[in-house]
Amino acid sequence: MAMRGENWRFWLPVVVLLLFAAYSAQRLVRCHVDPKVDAPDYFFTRKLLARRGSIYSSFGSKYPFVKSVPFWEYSLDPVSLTNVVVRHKRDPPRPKEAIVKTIADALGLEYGKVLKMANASQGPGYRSQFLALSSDPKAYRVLADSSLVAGVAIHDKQVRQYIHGRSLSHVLGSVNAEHVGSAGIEQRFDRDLTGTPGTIQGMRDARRRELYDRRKVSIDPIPGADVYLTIDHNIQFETEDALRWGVKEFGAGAGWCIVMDSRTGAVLAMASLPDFEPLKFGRVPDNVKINRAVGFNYEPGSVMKVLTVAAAIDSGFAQPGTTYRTNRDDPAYYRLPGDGSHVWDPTMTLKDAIVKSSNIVVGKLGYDFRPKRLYEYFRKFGLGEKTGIDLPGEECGILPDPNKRMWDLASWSRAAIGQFVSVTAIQLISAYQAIANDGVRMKPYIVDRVVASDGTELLRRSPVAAGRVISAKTARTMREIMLGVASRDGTARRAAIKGYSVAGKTGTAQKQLPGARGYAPGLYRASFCGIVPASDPHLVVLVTLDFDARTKFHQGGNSAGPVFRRVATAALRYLMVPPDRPDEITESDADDEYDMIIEERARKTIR
Amino acid sequence: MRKNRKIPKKMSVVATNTMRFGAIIVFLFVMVILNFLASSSCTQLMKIKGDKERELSRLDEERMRESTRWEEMKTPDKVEIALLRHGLAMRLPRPDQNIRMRADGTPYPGQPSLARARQRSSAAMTARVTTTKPTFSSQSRRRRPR
Repeated sequence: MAMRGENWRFWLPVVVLLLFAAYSAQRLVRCHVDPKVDAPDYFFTRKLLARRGSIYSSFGSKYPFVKSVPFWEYSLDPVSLTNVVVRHKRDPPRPKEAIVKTIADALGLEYGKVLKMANASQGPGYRSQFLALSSDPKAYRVLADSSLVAGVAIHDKQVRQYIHGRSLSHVLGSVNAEHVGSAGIEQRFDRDLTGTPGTIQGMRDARRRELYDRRKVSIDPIPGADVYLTIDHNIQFETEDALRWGVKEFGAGAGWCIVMDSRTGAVLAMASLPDFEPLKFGRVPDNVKINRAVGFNYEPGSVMKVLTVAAAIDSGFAQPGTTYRTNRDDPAYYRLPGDGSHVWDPTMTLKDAIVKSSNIVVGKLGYDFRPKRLYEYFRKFGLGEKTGIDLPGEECGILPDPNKRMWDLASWSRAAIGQFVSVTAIQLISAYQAIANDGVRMKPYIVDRVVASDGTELLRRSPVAAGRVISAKTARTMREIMLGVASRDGTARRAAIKGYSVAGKTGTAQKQLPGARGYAPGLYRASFCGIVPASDPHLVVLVTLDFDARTKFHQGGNSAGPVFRRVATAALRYLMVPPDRPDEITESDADDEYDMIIEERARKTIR
Repeated sequence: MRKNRKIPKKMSVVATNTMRFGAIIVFLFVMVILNFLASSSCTQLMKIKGDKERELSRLDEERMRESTRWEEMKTPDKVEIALLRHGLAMRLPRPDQNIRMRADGTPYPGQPSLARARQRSSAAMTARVTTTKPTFSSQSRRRRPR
């Protein structure tokens, strides 16, 4: 029995230890086997934002057009601001006014405005009033410090930064508030650009700090793929600058310009005015949103004559020297539009008809050539169908099929001179590119490649031939004919570039009356499409100015020609294309037009 | 037969296996302590990992913001403005100022720009010769252009 009295000394620690072990085991089971027994508040699932892919210029990843940048979105809760005591260590609590002052100073806001927000006590969403969107880390450090401020909610946000501002806005497009592409490349490649968000599932303690050892799921976000364009940002800058100058100088309401590599079909620059601020896309009027270079059908006017003559020569129907009479009262041709004062010869060869832009001669040629053949050639030039360029909203033009719907007799000659049919700018430049590329039309493209975040190429566009349109001989002949347009005798002498041969064609198209038959009197679209250098083409440039009011500069040679000259001069210099007429350049040309442009720009900037 | 089996006398576990039982208890205790230590160490490591994760994310975001700021400054219009502010009106070279070279470093023949460049350089050399004081050392004589 003496033993019995002493047993408790042994059993007490044993029991305590056992209880402790049981408790520990139970905790282990709770935590590791079935953690759901804890309060659900301790569990959280956090979605990690995936960075949206960037859009780069042809220079690669150091020259982006668009990027997603992490920002902080700050919003104010007046209730928390009033109720939460803010103090630094043992200092007295900070008064509301001091906190408001700190917030206003950190975000660069007006004190009165923030104070008004802090004093709000009712109204929809008054507990989450938007303060600012900022990427300033100093502001973040201040506002995230609970010993300085209270009532400021901070949310991580990805904001789309358009590095070049309004430049290339129609091509790049925009994203909406949910970061979904709503126009341009952003829309076309939305699926690729959008990344896959990551997830974190875990537990947090009573102070809402994550318990890192209880993290159950941790999936990193996968950033979106990057899109590399064929656009060269330097040529784009020069193009937009020249187009903006042209629109302002000649009083046009809108204008568009495309620069294309004549050998590959790659678009080097694409500008459309008026442009817009991509971040304010939602508030942009519809007529500004439209990318006129691809999404706008218009009657091209005389620039079509080149295609008609090329078709006639290629088929053997006519030769550059084929002569037509220039009388317009011939009833067989349904009174073609007049030729203006610059055409006065009683007869004219096809070559001269291009140089002087004779409606009558080319109209008669088109009439004699017949619609079916003309239609076939126009189709081969890519008219009447989408080019397939990687931009949303592309129009396919209007080119009625004479096999399905008879062209009326007037249309036989009108189509030849650029009336009755409608094209888009990209179709037109693609057709000229075929002439520049010895008759082979290349599929135009603006996206070079799409690269995933791990470096995998998701898409690569390479030059693809859309087909041979005309023979190489015809193409060369056409370029020779077109050389005269930018000469002293042609309609676009202001498009000539010293040192380089320019093969081009002007166009002065009457604008149709909106919603009615016929043309608006005195309103025109002036175009110039040129190939430089004509002997060894490198570039094709199309410029169109759309006039909303009567102006004396409505002709292609007077308005679009000089813009073409500015664009092409800068692009040729930039690409260091060797001049094919070097003898034209003399030492005295040191202050040529390009230099004057630079000086003009410098004056504006310094002012 | 079962009834006749001798029922073994209940013996105290403690009395018989004190050492073994004590060892189990000690083992359990050690295991629990080890678990706590491991758990605590794990928590600490995860905390460090979390801090590093946040730091990495912060730095990455900072890098992104800085690179964007830099890229914004590199756009052609901004570069031009920056240069103009320093009195530099830069322009692209004229076609006659470009000399096209082969891969081996020799220029393509027949370039008017090349002829002009040669002419200019020879003129410059002549000018240099006329403005340089005549010296009679062998080295300077060797340098003199023909």
